[in-house]
Amino acid sequence: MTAYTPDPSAHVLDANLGLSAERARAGAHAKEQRHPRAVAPFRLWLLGLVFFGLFCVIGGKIFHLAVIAEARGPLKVIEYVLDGPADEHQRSRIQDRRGRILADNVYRKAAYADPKKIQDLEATLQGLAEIFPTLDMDDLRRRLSNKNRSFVYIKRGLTPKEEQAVWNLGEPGLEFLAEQHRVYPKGNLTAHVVGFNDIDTVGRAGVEAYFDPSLQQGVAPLELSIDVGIQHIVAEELAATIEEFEAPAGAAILLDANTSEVLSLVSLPDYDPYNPGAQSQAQLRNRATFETYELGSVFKVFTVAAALESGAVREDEEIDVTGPLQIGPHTIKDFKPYNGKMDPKTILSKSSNIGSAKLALRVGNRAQKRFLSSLGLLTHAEIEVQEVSAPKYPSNWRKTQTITISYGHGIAASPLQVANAFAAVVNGGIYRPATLVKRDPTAPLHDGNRVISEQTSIKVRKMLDHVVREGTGGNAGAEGYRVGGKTGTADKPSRGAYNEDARIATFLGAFPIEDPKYVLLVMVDEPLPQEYTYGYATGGWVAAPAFKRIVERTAPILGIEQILPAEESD
Amino acid sequence: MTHVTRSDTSLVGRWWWTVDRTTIGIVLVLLAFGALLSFSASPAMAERLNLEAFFFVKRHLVFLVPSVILLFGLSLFSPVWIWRLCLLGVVGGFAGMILTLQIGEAVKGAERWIDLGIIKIQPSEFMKPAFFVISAWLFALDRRMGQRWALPMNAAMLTSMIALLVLQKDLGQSILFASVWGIQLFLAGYPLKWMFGLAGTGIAGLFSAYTFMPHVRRRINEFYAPDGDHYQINRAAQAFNDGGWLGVGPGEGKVKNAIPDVHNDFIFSVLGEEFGLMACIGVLLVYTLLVLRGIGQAVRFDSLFTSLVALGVICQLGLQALINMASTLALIPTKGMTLPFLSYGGSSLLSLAVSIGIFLAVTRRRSRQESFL
Repeated sequence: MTAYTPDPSAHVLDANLGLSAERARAGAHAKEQRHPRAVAPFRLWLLGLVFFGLFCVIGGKIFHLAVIAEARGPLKVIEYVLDGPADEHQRSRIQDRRGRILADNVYRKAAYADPKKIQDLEATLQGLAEIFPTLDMDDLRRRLSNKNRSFVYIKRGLTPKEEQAVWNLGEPGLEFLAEQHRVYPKGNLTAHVVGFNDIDTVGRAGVEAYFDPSLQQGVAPLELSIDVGIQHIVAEELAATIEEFEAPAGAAILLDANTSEVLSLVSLPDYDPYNPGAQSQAQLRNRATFETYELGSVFKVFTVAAALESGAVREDEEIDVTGPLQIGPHTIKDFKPYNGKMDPKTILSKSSNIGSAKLALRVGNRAQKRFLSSLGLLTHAEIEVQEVSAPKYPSNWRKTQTITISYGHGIAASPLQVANAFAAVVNGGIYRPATLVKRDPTAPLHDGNRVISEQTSIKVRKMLDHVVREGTGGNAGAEGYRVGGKTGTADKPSRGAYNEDARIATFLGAFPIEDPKYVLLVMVDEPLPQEYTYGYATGGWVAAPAFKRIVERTAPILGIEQILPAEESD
Repeated sequence: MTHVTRSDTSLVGRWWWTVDRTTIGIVLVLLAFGALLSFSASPAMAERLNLEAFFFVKRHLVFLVPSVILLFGLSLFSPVWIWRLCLLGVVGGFAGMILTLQIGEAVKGAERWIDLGIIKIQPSEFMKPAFFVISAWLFALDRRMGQRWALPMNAAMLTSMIALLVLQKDLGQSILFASVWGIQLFLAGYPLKWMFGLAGTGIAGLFSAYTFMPHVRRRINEFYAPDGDHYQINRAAQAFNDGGWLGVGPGEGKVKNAIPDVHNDFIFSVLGEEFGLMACIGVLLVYTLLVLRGIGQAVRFDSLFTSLVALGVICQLGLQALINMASTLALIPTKGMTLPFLSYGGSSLLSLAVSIGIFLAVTRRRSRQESFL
C-alpha cells in the first residue's frame, strides 16, 4: 500500500467529490512560492495566542505551587511507605515547666504478613517460631491461612535484630510497618502525672488520657506545671520516709500557693509506664488525685479559718476544751487530754479535737458546709488527669457530722484537693483550682474566688507558724526557712469502724509562712511506729520530718531566700 | 537514515525531505520523557495491583514500538488516502462505540472500553483523529464547494458523537470533541457570531450535564466545596511544592504512592515532584512549541481541507495537554484525560501516534497538483 506516489484512485475520488474544479483553480494560481493561506491569518494568530496564553497560565500556576506557595497542611499518612510515616501525625510531646521532655515519640517496626503473598507457609511459620519463641504458632497458622485477609500482625515493637532476622527469612509475604511508640524519659518518676498510652498510641492514663484528643492533633508540645527536679526530690524524700516507717504507700504534692500550679505530684508506689499491664493495682492507683483519705486534723485549719472569718471566735478568745465532750451517743476525746481554756492558736498547735468541735458548733453546720464547698472540698477536683474521684462525705450532715468534719473525720478527699484548699486559706484568701498545665507567666493571674479575707488569712498563717514553733509540727521546722503547717493523724476507717492500728499521717504546710509561695503536703499511708519515735506514728513524727527535708532541699531551687539564724531566733 | 540526499527519489528519501522533521523531533522528545516517567511512576501502581514492578513500564515500552511504526506509516500516506482511511475509521468508530454500549467493560465507573484480548481499546480515543479529518473535509466541502448538505451533516456527526460519549459518561471527551470542532468551524472562516452561538450551546450543554448527570454534579460540587474530598489534588499540589525548582530526584518522589492511577492522569505531578519546576516548564515549552509549530505548518498549502485536518489534530493534542495539566494543578475539576505522550496508556499512545501521523501526512510538502479543496 504505497501512498505518496500518484494514485490513480485519487482521481476518481476527486471527481466524485467535485475536487477537479478545485484542482483546476489551484493550477490557475500564480507562483509556487507564495502560498495563499486557506485560513484567515487573524484567526490563526488568535488561536496561537490563546494557546500560548493558556500555556502561560499553566506555567504560572506550576511556578506558584513549586516556588511561592507555602507547604500544605498535614496530609494523610501513606500506609505503604515503610521507612516511617511522615512527621505530621506525631503525637504531641509532653514537657515539664522547664522544657524537659516527659513523653516523646519514636518509631518501632512491626512485622506483618499479607497472607495472599506468602509463598511457603510452613517455612515461614518455622522461621518465625525460631525468631519469636513466644508466638502462638497455631493461632498464627490459622490467621495466615486466611487468604481473605491482607494484613496480619506478626509482632509489634521489633528490635533491630528481630527485624533483620525476619528480613532474612526472605519471605515476600512478610512486611514491615513503622509504628509510633511513646517514650517516657523520666519513667516511673512522672508516671502518675503523665500516664501512658496503649499500643495504638491512645492515651489511657494521666494527662496522656485527659488531653488525648488534643495530643492526637500533634500541634504543640504540652507544657506541664511539673518541675522534674522538684519532683525528684519530693519522690526521693517520700520514698525514704515510706521505707523508714515500713509503710505501703504515700503521696506528696507541691503546689504554687498563688497560681495553684502543681510543681510536683508524687504517688508511691509508682509504676513503669512502658509496661502498665504488668503492674499491680496498688502501683497504678494515684494516691494524690484518685484515692480519697480522711486526713484528720489538717482540717482544723479550715475550721479555725471559718470561725475567724465568720466572727464566731476572736483571735485571742479562750475556749474551754475540758473533755471529754459528749454529743449524743458520741464521746469526743483529745489525743492528749487537757483541762482548761485555749485560744484558737493553741487549739491548732495542740491539735485539740474538742476545741475544734466547739469552734465548728459556733460556725454552724450550714456555714461550715458552705465554706468547705467554696474550698472545692465537696466536688471532684478539676485536675487534668484521668484519675480523679469525688470526695466522700455524709449526705446527712448534722451536728455530729459538723463536729467530726471539723477535725477531718467523716470526710474523705484526695490529698490534692486538701492541699489546694489549704493554699486558698494561706495565700491571702483566694481559691484557684489546681492545675497540671504550665501557666503563661506573662498572662495576668485569673481572679479565682475569694474564700476568706486577707486579714483572716494572715491570722491563720501566724497560728500555723506557731504550730511548727511550739506545737505538734515541731519536726517540720526547716532550717533557714520559716514554715508553717498542720499535722494530721487519722485512723483509717475499716468496715464501718476506725482501725487504731492503721493510720494516715500527714503534714500540710506552706513556706515561707509569712508570705506563702508554696504549699506542700506529705502523706504516709499506714506508717508503723518506730522505737526512736517513742512508739508514735503520727503526722508530727512521720510526715513532718519529710516535709522539713523537702523544704530544705527544694527552697533553694525555688528561689526562696534563706533567713539568718539570728533573725530566726527573734 | 545515513545518507539521504535531496536527489534520492526512493520512498524514504522523498518522505524524509518532505516531512516536517521539527514536529517529529518534538514528538520524539515527548516520547522519551514519557518513557522516563513510566520508570518512575508505574512500579508504584503495579505493586498496588500485585503485578510485577515493571509490568507497566514494559507495556509502555512495548506500545512505543507499534506507536512509532503507526506514526511513520501513516505519515507516508497522501491526504486522499488519509481521507479514505478516516472515513472508514469514523464509520467503524461509531459502530464500535455503539458496540461498547452493549458489551463494554466498565473501567473505574465508565463504560468506554472494548476488550480485544491483548489490549482493551477505547473506540472514542481512536475516533478522535479520524473524526477531525472528516469534520475538516465537511467544513471544506461547505466553504469551498458550496455543498449545502455538508454543514448539517457535520453538525449531526458532532451531535451523535457527543450523545454517544455522554451515554458512556465521558464528559471530558465530549468537551474535547466539541471544542476542536468549534475551533475548526472558527478557522474555516464562518462568521464570528456563529462562534458565540456555539459557545452558548456549549455552556447550556454543560449546565444540563451538571443538572442531569449525577457524577458530573458530584465532581463539580466537590471541586468547589471547601471541605470536599480534595485528596488527589492536594497531594498533587504538595508534589509540586516538594519538587521546587529542581525536583527531589528521579524515583525519589512520594506522590506516586499516594495517588491511584498516577501513571495516567496525574503523571504531571510526578514530573513536578521528581524533576522539578524546570522540567515542567521544559515540557510545557515543548508542548507550546508543538502547537505553535503545528499551527504554522498546518497552513503551508492553500487547502482548507488539509489545513483544518492539521489544525484539528494539533489543537486536539494541545487541548488534551492543557486539560490534563489544568486538572492536575487544580485549575479545573479533574477529568479523565491523559497527558499526550507522557501518560501511560496503550490506547492513548496509539491514538496519539495516529494523530501525529495524520498531521505529518497532510503537512508534507507536495506538488501543487495534489492540493485539495
